[in-house]
Amino acid sequence: MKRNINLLITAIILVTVLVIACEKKLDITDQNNPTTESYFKTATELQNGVNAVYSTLRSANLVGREWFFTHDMRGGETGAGGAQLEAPRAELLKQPSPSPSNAVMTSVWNGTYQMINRANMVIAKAPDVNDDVSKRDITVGEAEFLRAWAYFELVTMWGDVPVYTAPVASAADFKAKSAAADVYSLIISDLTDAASKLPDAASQQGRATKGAAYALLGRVQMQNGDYAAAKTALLNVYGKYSLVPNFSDNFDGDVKLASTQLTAGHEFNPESIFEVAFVDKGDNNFNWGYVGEGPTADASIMRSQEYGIVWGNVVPSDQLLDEFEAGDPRYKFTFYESGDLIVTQGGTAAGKALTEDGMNVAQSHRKGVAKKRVFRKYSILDWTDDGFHPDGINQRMIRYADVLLMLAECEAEIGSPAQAAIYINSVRARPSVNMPPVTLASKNEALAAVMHERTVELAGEEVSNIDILRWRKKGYYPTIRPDPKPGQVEFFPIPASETSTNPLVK
Amino acid sequence: MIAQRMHKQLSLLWLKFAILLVCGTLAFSANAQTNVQGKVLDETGKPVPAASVKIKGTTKGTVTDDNGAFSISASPKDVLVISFVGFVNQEVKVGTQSSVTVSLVPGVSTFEEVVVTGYGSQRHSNVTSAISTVNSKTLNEIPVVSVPQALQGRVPGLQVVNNGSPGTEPLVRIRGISSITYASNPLYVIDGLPTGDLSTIDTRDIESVDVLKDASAAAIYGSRASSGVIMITTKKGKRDGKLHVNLNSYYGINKITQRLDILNPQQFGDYAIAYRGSQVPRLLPPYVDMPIYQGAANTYGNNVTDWQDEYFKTGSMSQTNISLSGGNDISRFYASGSFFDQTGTTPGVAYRRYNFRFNSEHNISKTFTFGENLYLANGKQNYDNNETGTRSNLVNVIKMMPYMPVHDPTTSDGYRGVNSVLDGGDPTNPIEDALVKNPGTRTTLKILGTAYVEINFTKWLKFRSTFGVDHSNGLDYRFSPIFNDSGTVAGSSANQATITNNRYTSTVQLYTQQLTFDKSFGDHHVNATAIYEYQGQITRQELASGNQSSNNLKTLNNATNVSASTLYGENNLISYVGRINYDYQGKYLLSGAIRRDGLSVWAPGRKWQTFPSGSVGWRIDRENFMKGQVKISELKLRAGYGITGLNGTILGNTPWLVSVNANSAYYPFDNSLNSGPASSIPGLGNPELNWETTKQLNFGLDLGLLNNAITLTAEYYHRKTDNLILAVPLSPSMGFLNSTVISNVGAMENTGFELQAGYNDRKGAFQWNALANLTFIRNKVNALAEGVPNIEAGADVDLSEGYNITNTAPGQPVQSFYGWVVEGIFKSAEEVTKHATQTAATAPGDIAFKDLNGDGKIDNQDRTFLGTFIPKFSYSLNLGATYKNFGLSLFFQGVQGNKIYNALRTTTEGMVRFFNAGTAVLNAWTPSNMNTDVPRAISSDPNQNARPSTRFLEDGSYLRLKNITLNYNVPTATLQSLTKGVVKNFTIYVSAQNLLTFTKYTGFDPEVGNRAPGSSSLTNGIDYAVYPQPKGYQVGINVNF
Repeated sequence: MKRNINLLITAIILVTVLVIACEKKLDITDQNNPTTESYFKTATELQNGVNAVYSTLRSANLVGREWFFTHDMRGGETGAGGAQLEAPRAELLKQPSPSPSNAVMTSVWNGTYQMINRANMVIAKAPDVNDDVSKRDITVGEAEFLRAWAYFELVTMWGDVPVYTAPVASAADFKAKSAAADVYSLIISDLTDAASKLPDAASQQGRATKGAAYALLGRVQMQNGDYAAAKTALLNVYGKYSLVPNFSDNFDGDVKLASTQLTAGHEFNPESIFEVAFVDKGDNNFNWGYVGEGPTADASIMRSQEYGIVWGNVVPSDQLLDEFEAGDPRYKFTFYESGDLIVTQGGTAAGKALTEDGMNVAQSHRKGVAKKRVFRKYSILDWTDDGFHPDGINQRMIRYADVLLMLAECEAEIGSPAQAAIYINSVRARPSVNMPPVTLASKNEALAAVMHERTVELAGEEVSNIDILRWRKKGYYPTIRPDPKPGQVEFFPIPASETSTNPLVK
Repeated sequence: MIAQRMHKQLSLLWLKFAILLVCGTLAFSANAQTNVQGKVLDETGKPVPAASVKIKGTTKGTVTDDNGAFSISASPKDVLVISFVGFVNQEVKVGTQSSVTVSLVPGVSTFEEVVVTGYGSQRHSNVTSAISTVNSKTLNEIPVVSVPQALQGRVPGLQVVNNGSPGTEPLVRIRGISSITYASNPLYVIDGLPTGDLSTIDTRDIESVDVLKDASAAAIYGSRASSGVIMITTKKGKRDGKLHVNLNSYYGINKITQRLDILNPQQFGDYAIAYRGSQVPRLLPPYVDMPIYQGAANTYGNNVTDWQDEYFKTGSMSQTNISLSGGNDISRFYASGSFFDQTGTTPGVAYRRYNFRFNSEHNISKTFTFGENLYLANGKQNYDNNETGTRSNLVNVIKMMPYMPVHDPTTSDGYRGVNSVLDGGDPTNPIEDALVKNPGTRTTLKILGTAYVEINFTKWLKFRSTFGVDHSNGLDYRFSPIFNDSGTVAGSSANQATITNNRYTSTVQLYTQQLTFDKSFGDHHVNATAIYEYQGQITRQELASGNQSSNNLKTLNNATNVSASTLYGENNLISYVGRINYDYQGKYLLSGAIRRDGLSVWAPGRKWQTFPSGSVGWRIDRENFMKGQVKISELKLRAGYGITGLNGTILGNTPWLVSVNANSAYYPFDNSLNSGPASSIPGLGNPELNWETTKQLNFGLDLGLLNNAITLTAEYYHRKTDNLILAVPLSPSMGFLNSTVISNVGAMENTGFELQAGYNDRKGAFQWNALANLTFIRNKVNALAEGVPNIEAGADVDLSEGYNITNTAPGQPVQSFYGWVVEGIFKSAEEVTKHATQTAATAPGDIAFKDLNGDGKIDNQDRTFLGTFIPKFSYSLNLGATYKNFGLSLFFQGVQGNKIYNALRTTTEGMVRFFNAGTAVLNAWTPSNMNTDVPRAISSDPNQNARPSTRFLEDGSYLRLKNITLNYNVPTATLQSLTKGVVKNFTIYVSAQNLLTFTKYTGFDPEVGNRAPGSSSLTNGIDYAVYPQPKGYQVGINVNF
């Protein structure tokens, strides 16, 4: 009897437990994040999507760090600063072609494609967003602008590259390389469409505008060899912006140490057409995650630190120093050399002099004079000599002076040297620069003047190496000028990480 | 639905029983029987009650009464086997005797223990699968913090590699690596409760550890058993009516004595000139004559700091454990309290733990038994947050300039940093890093408890219901102050204090309902078990950090830049288990089990899987033809097969699902930090994802000779996994942050042979014993994913010049070392030109790499497989001897035939960037020093001489005297008279660890683990500056009252 009661108890326990623990317990989804089905449904969510393209643009893979290294190592403006230059950067700088596993250029490859995938997501999701159509369309315009920027980086560095125009849905959806001409077509169509969608003035400083789209389109058309189309695009920008009187206002920005804001700089000034925003939180941290993620991660850039007097990864090359005419004030605006005053707080303090001993860089030569020099553009040394403080200076990606000189180059190419001179002289006439005007009679004279002016005006602005590729292709070296980097290959090898994972790309 | 399925399975089991009942023959063969009377005594002559007396080769037997007496009917040919827990089995041939007296000798051999098999236990003699048992005495021979360390070298096929800095859990692998992507950690089960974290468990409370190695044993844990199962049984108390009090205490010191040859200031200066082409300004006027800080007597010119001596310090370790145990027919209990305190051998590292245990069991009536195990531990670990990463503090110890002072009373934190301009490089002060900048504290409260009710319906049918909770609450707190050490490199100062406050809680609940049937039908014995089990885990993480503008404010109250997030996780496992063990006359053994697991982490439709296993055994010694002989005391052949899975929760709670990273970044429009919230989709999902399942075949042989004085166990196994989860790389051009998508695509196999041999000499004043283990493992990757020819890993900018160091490819062992082959050093420009093209900057003095594909250029295609971290074999030897009251034990452990990639040599002699280095760089190639294997010293290594190659690959074989212990038992008579019988036993011992290591390896220590122990296994055996194992010395006492 007792046994039976026990059995009964057991049976009750068993059944109860089984009923409680039903299989529903196995249906668990991620409770910390929205799902791909539920998100990107509103114009605000879509804008958050394009914000993620911008956040990639400012990541360490791109403008935050490796992008400026890639441009500067590849061109002729820099020389090795000393033993602090890490091997993959040294390889880019010193050798005609890097190995496919070069980490620096691979970062740019990764970062640009991350921008492209995110932009594709925005463009693909847009048709289903209907709550705020005008905001949606501007967002799509921004996505197209940023996608075009990314593809332009890719096509100028690698030539033929895989083209993705829709988000990847499966691990087997890799693409083969498209011809560079097709990449250019996509860039041009994206920028044309973006220019039609984007406003003249952005809702927030830092977002792409119509002017930015046309200016980039002009640059792209020039690189593609279509100077007439470039001129058309650039004329849409002409007169809409102006040169700031003070040349240095183009390269400063917020500098903060702990809670002390040392300067706010002159970011988003009338000369600036498109810039990548960085903010100095006052600490010495940098978002080392490389992909720009992290809701409270730092949004600083490494430029001032990497090219400063402590790290001195690179110094200005001798040929760049020699390019500056005697008496060109832009020389002092572009470089610091030993003996110059730093920490003058924008000229309000006595400052202190740079010494040869205080600069951890190799010497460079201007007109045979050996001295230690570093780049002053994008440097925070005038505000602090804290040598490892990452900075918040916005990177001016396209400024009006560049547009004027692009127009000059278009006119030179088309055969209007006099018109080219007008553009060049407007740049030389900036109050703080105030260089004598040039007179140009022939195409070659005009080209030589444009090449010189772009080299000094835009020195250290990640523009020169693209110019070199264009001019080299045109055959201007050495007929007009000596090649700044003879023997350099036109394109990087496709990164090993791509060729080892994408069976369609060799 | 479930009830139905359950019902079905139960009916199936009952049906099986019924068939066995019908088939069972009840044939009894009677012999000429006589009645044998006997008495069983212990070593002191006291009677042993409840000892088992069996007739060898049969299931016939009895137990001794309270006076140690027994009576059994046996024929003269029979051999009696007398056994009792804690004593060595004795065998007596009946012959013509009608009365026998047997004296039992204390001690155990592995063959005579009860083996915990998961949801039950079995006598070792009936076990048909590969299970190794380690008892309490062995576990506590070496003073260690955690169970895995205590198991090192104790079990064939179980590999334990100490890893990382002090306080980091070692790597534990049963029968090698079973997964490419995930850590192959075994499943730990404490008193029936599967748990993950063993760091807080006190080895002193453990009765035994059983390692379920093959699938037929482990498959009872189904989807979590691929990497083996370690069953931990805690102490219960004897039912002998007495109270036992035990006090155990030791104190010891640990010392790291290994040193690398690092440049002194003078040599550093010479190297600076050779490498940079100029002296560092610090060693030139005016700096060379300046004091190292204002007011110091030493100048940079004459100051010498041995950073290794400054960094390594003497650590201490002590533990005191008091336990009470006892019991009678109704209740029994074990209670303990323990305090463990360790200070590390490197700055800022310490561990302290208080723990308490109360286990009890009560026979409420003949039918009902209630029991519980409760464990409470509070651990506090002081750790060095700089320990991971490529610039670990140990790396900085090597890189620091030898003339720099550690301390500087003029700086705000009392330490001193380098000036990269004056000193030429940017190492950070490793002692400051550990003590000021990055110290962290992890406090963990762990509550582990199970309670169970057992209902004995009849002698052969019982039901057990278990409820368990495993709760841990961990706080990870770090405070990095405002400081300035007057250096000029990153990390030389902070203008805000940073507080990190992360809390992790986990609660695991377990319900097990278990019905067990156990009955003999004549010669047939059946044990069957049916189980329903639910286990669920809920985790919560609260991650917060922020800044304060004062070092006095150490909390986040009113802090700035506060970042906070919370995360919730949940997973559930529902299981149905059935197992049946059958034996015929104890000779033919058969076992089968099936487990069906449903796990929440998979996508709908993929949640359930079945894991079957079976094994057979043959006790040859119980055959008639073996009867009567006394030499072979046990001979058993075993074979088993089973399918197991890799614990799916390792992958996370929803590994198949891709979510949106909403607002996971910001873009500073208008130069305002959080003005542009950014959302993105980070990767691709894979709803097809499922368990990695491993099929394993095992053959075993157990041989016992001369009353099991000599024991031998041999195992052969083959394990194969066909659906390994691999991170299939996505092309970077696809543009996802998650550069891979996980899929079940790979295949790998491990084949192994294990041997354990033991000897117990149990007679006379001098007794000795030996136990030797030998393990062979071969690993081979059979397949990777389509489009994934190989998987490379281990790249590091500083330590491998950005190249991967290992490669996992079909046909090769997992993560084989991979790189270039060194041919020699170019002696002339002519040699450079003649050789296959390396780099544009290659020059005499650079290393010539072999052009393996003969295409005239040295590139990635010229890399090849260079060897594996997996030893050809590993072995250990325990030797124990007692003479009267003295005991000595020696424990040797070693591995043979493995390779180590000594990546630290990239720092000591790679000359990639300018830092302090090893003395090898003084022998760098120069036109006047051509007879060397060290290449030229040249800034930034343009030829990439330090790329992964045979240059830094070394033989990792070693033999280590892991432990030596000498103990002295105060004689019982002395104790009796001195303490009036209060103290029953008093042992004092001294021991030492890692006294001797024989190796050719040139790094700090050949015991090299894995750089990322929690995740992938693909960086094992790469020495990124492994923390050497300290030498330890202890003195301790063990007192029984």
